[in-house]
Amino acid sequence: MPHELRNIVTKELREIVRDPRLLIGMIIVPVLMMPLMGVGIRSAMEATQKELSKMETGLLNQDLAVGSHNYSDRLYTLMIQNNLIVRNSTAQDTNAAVSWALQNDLGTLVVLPPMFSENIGDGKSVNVSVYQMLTHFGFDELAGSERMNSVFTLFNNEILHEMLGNNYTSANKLQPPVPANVVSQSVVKGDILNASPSNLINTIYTSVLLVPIAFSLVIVLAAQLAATSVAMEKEQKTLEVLLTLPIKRINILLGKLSGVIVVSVLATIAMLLSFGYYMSSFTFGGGTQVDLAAVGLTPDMTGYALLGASLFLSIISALALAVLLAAYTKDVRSAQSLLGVLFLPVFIPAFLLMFAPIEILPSGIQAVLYAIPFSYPPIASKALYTKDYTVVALGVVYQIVFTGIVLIIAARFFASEKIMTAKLKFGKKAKAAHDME
Amino acid sequence: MNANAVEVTKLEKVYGGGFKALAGIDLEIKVGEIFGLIGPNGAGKTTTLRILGTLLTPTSGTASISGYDVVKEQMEVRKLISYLPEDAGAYENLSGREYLAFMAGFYEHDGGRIVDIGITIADLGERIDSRIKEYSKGMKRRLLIARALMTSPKLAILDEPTAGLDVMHALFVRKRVKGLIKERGGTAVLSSHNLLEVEFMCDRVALIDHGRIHEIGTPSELKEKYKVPNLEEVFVEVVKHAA
Repeated sequence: MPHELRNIVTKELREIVRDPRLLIGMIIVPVLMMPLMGVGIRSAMEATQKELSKMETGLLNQDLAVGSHNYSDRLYTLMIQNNLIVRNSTAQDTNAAVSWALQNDLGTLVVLPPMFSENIGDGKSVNVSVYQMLTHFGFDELAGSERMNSVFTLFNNEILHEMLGNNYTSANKLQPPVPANVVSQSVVKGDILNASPSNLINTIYTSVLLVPIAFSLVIVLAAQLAATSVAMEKEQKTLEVLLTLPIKRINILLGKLSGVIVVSVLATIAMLLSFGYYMSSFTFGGGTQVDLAAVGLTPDMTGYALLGASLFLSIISALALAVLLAAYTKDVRSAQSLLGVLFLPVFIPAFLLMFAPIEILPSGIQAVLYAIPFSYPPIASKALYTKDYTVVALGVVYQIVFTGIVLIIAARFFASEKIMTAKLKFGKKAKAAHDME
Repeated sequence: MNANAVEVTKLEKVYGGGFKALAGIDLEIKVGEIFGLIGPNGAGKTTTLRILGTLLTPTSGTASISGYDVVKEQMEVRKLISYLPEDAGAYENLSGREYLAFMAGFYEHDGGRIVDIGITIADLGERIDSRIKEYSKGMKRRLLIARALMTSPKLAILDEPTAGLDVMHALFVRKRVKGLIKERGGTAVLSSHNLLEVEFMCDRVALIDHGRIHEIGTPSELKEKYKVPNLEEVFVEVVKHAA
């Protein structure tokens, strides 16, 4: 490396290494973010495994067969051998059985039709309805559905082997009729939808996959705007002048915030409009995609209103936090790097909730996510489908309280001399004081 | 009416890190005076000005402006003062006129009369309508001086008003400040490292070092006392004796 270049590179590295704020934003935050996300996702996976290991399924057996060709008994035995906990329903019909399954918190319900054994014994294919109860459209529910399918695959292979003996292979070109033809159906909020759980979950997952990240970007951009605005005022000492004018300090803070709030309102509206358009592209179905409108899963106005409110409040709380953080810095560069601290609570919930519904996460992680105000827009976007608005509504209330508290702290901060003197101390404490003169 | 524009008694300021910026200063500035604070970096000049400007609160002691306490009656004090920090900037995307109008808006609703005064003080000609980001450092400082003086404050607090300016702009600022303060019967307290400037502008000066005032007097009194030809040498003598 030429001497001149080495000289400049050395200087640049020294500046970066000796600026603790840059280290926070550029190194510590990314270093923490990925392991934290890893922990979260691993926890989600483990929770899914745990759920599956104790998977309970309901069975409505309308087959009256007895004797050696009792295929419903064979299926029951196979389910038990595959570690499923099977509970028999005494309901009179499918709808009653579905209600019973929901009441008993069972994830799956298998309905064996009358003459199940007889028809299979005659070499006919019998449709077996498998109902998957969907509450949060998570991968754990998808895994439950897949697990049930695999049991039926085993069952079919076993029966075909038995019937055809050595003439049967799974690659047999002359495919015999499948003994038990699984017809998967989804149950959402007690309604039986004519859509397979895997297709439905895939469609919904695809439609909301990138939403948390898109929301996070808007939140971070708004925060950067606010932090830059305050830091710029500090750097150019225009804030110092403002603070000596005959104007209430709270008005300076509110005035400062309202400028960015206007931009944030516009950003929220733009985001909701584009989101609405994006969502409409998932209502046509085709391929493995489900026409969500046809199965009654179109988002309603309540869902959109709550989503808008939670996104807007997330932006406002990010603005308030950004203003507070920026008040601790003396210039734009420091503010931008210190803002990296805010990226952790914005992006980690977004990434986690992309992969795992909050319901299946361990309670400790759930508590952390519920405490972070930026978790609610991703939760609200999922609630558009689950229609479970209670958490989102409570979240909106929490966000209002959180934002209010941060604003009160910021107002007190602005009203005191801390707005002039506050600095995050990483080195010797006295250094900050000397900087004042 | 209070005869003193500023009264400071046993003023102390200790920052959070334990650094003592002011170690008990006493000061009186009469109405109509231009008062200079001179001293090395870290002496306590800016801290004193910031306390007078209601930006900082003293650890102990009192300071008042026209009888109003800078801690207990901040809003009253802010109506009387105009503060100009060292190296202050302005809103780069506003024009000079818009900036003055913005600032005038805190003193009168239409702001028109004050803005006109500000434009006259700044004397930037047609450039008053250019964006501030297109101004040179000297032009910006003229605009900021105009902002500070256009409201005819009872007390103008000017921290290094000509720092970093070329000779022509510095001269402009000095003459403007002195002329306007004297013409309108206001009072000014300023800090400066340029002792020739202080000698030209100030009626009285205080020599401050390590948070203490070591001398107060008119430039001629101080030169007489130390038998030296200018304030720079007074300063050297004072620092020598203080050490």
